[in-house]
Amino acid sequence: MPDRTLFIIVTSLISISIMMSYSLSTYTVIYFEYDEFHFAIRQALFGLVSIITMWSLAQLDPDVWLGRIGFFLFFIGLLAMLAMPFLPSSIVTEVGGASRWIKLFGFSIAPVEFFKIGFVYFLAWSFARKIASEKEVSLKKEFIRFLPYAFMFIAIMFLIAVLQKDLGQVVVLGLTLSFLLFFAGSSFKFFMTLMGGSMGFFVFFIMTAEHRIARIKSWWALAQQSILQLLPESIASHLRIANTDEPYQIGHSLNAIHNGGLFGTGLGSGTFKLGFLSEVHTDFILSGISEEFGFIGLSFVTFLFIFILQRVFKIANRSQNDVYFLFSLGIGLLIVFTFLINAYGISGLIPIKGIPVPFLSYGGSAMIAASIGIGMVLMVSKKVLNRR
Amino acid sequence: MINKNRSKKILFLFAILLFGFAIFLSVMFLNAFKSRKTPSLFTSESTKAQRGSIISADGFHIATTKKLYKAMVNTKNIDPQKKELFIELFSIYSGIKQSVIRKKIDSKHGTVVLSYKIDPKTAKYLKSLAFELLKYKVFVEYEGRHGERILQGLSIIESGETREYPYGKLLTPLIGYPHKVEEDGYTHVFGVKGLEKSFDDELSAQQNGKQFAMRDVNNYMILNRKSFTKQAINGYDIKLNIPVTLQIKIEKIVKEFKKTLEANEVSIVLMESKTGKIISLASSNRFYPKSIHKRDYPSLNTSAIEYSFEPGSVIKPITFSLLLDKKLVNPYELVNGHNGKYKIDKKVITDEHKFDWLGAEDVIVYSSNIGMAQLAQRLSGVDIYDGFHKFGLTKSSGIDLPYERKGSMPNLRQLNYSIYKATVGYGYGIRVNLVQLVKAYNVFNNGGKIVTPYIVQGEIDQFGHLIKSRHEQAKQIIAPSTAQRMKKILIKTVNQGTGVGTRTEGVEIGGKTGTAHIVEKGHYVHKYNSSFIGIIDDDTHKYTLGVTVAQPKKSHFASLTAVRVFKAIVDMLIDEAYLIPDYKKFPLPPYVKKH
Repeated sequence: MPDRTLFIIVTSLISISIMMSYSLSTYTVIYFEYDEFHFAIRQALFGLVSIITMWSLAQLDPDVWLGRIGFFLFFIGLLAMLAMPFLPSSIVTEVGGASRWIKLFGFSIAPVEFFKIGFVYFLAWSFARKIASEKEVSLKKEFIRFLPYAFMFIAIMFLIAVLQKDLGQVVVLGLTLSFLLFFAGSSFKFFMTLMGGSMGFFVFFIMTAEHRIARIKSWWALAQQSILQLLPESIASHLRIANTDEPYQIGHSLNAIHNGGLFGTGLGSGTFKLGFLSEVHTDFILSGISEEFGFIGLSFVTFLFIFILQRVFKIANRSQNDVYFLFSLGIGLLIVFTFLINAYGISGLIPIKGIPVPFLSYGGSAMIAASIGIGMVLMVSKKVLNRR
Repeated sequence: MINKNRSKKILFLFAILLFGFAIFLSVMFLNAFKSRKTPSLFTSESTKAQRGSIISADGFHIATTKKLYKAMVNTKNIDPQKKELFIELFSIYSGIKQSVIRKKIDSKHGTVVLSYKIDPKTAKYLKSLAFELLKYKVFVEYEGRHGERILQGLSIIESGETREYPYGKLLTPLIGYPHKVEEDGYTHVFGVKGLEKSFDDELSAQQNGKQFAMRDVNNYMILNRKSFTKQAINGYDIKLNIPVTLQIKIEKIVKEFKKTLEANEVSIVLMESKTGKIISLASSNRFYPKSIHKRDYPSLNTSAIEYSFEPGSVIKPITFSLLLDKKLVNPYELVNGHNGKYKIDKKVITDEHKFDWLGAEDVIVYSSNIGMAQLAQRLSGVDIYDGFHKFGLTKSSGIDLPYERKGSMPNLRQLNYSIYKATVGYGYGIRVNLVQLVKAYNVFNNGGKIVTPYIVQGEIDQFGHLIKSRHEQAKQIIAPSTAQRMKKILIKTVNQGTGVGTRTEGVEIGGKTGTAHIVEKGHYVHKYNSSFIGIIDDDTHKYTLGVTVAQPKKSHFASLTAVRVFKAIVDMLIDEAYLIPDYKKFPLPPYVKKH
């Protein structure tokens, strides 16, 4: 029996998403002169496909199908991303200098979303074979062992961060990779070295370009308002920099959250969704939910994600098979990191935007891909040791 | 199996991630509840209600209100790269030359008024332009002194209203004129004379509209349960009894006569006898209400009510009707004409036409002062005083115009003296206005009932319903038979007497001339006012028409001045089918030779 609770939580999030895609797109549909239900009807369709896919996958035998689907997604996703720079512009739509979507049969598909699931499977499969089987090794050996993955990751980084300009996704994949490596059996020392190295690289990456420094500065100007008040004043006063402007989007995201207060303005009654926040039904959906359902509504949605995490981790923990264990863990991390990066982005804590909230943001690829991921976890959940 | 501590590790990871969630929620909590300067969620818009129009009986808008708008732009908000685009588009939408706009925009760094005089239609286009420009990011935010983001762009604001008189001098001075007053940057008009004044309350805007609602980023209003709308209620339109088509013709006639008679002014009042509806009230002296010059000052008053004068002989029929009504005279009795000279209390009264003896009704027909002076003695002072009041003389006529001069007459004590009875009896020593005279004569054409003259049919409310003006009911002041007899005498006056100049085949006309000396500085001078007040009936229509010619220099005889104006109007009324001649019913008297 697959994990029904997990299925229900994800289905609830999808339902919320469909509802919000109607409420939050009010301004956009009028502005672009779309039909009133333009987004809602599409999101409903994606939601339906997602739920059916998820449930169907849950019925399959993981011993046979998990690998097939995992590799399929990994290679197809990789292939698609590799092909994208060479595809004609009629197929690959460029939005704001980033080519993230392939147009197929009237739908825009973001291959990176499907690739992420495949990538997690590939890592789980590979780590289970290479790392989990080996006993304690030296840090140097560990490093050598990691090299091929590092190269692969750099290649992926090039594909996603440079060609698709999607830094957020790379951060999610990087974090997932690191944690999986650790759980596959790497030493804590190596894990920390890896994290430290990444941080160092990140700082280097920022320092090498003026506009990145400026962006970090403008981020800190905003983030300090939230972060510094959590710190004692003696430390905070050293970190405070002169007030500069809030970035437009983040400013209105915070306005929306503030306007929502505890209980929200009520469904459909938000103001900042009306053109102030331009991507409120996609990347800023959490701000939109905060405005209309208040802190209470936002907490509810956040708890659903915590609940997903708890269920997925429980399945991972009870898996007898290393691949199943690492895969489930990876999917859980993937979803949570995506959520947190978006959440920190919209509240101005980190300077990363443009990453969708799993199951909530408008868009078919992200929702269907995430549902495939959960479907596969549900598939695995049938094989777990039931202690009760 | 991967390591044994798996559960603990997972729990630890879960705890770390939980901490990540907690940070997010606490930041959100702080954001939701700590004070924050958010942009206003609401927007409001007010619409000024307009002053109503004055509409003629045949639907012409004689006086209307036009709203004016001003266009302002904050030049700091214009994207420098899109400035030319803005200038070009604004020029196309507003019709203002590009060079003019460019000059204004370059003149100041900040808010600039591009035009104060934008008509409502253009304002509407410009408003939609303002939204489009926002949409295409022609306007960009800039930072204010306190770090606030400012985006004003192009704003189109009501700046005031102006009163328009599309037909120029038409219906002046009756219609009056307004004054402007500025209040909170908005220019209003209010009536100071004429109909604009007397109906100022009705015409004035009733309620300004206000709308308060939630908004979107472009300040579009969202009308939902939180919004509030107060409808603008414009002033009532007022509808006149006067048709423009008739008024124009009459105004032309009086203007021409003013010229040919070399008079100061020719005024007329034409009233429907049964109802009291004034269907024309015209003066030869008119002005443009939009541009009043010093030379117009004498023309600003509506003489028909604002000028009182000694009426002279036109009073005789009223005195005579009082005698008839009290049965103090028999129309066929003979009155001594004293051969044109008669003395009362050392004062000599003369007649233009000398009579030895004449029939009592011929005192009217041939306008004998001597005859009237003697007949008037049969009335007591109270009879005259009350009688004249009953006819509305020296009392407010009740017409719907402001500043009426009621006139005056000797007091009761004086009226007991023979000389006062005599002079007042034939129209001296008393002052009245033209409308009062028409109202009084109208009694003879309305079966002895007096009605209140009125110009305004009613008010038209915002839904287009006409709310009719209400007036005092017609009051019987003399017996119907007296009225009938008086009418006959007046008709005889036209057929044989001083009014022959107005004789017209096919319609029934009766009336009386009057000429009176003008008093200047307490002395009669060699200047005259001539009047003719008459009734004109056909089979279905009954009118009372009064004409005054002020100080004609060509001739001071009413028969050569006012009578000619009266006749010209009668002919025109026939031409315009206000009167349908019936040659069998109202033929010329047999003694008149047909041409």
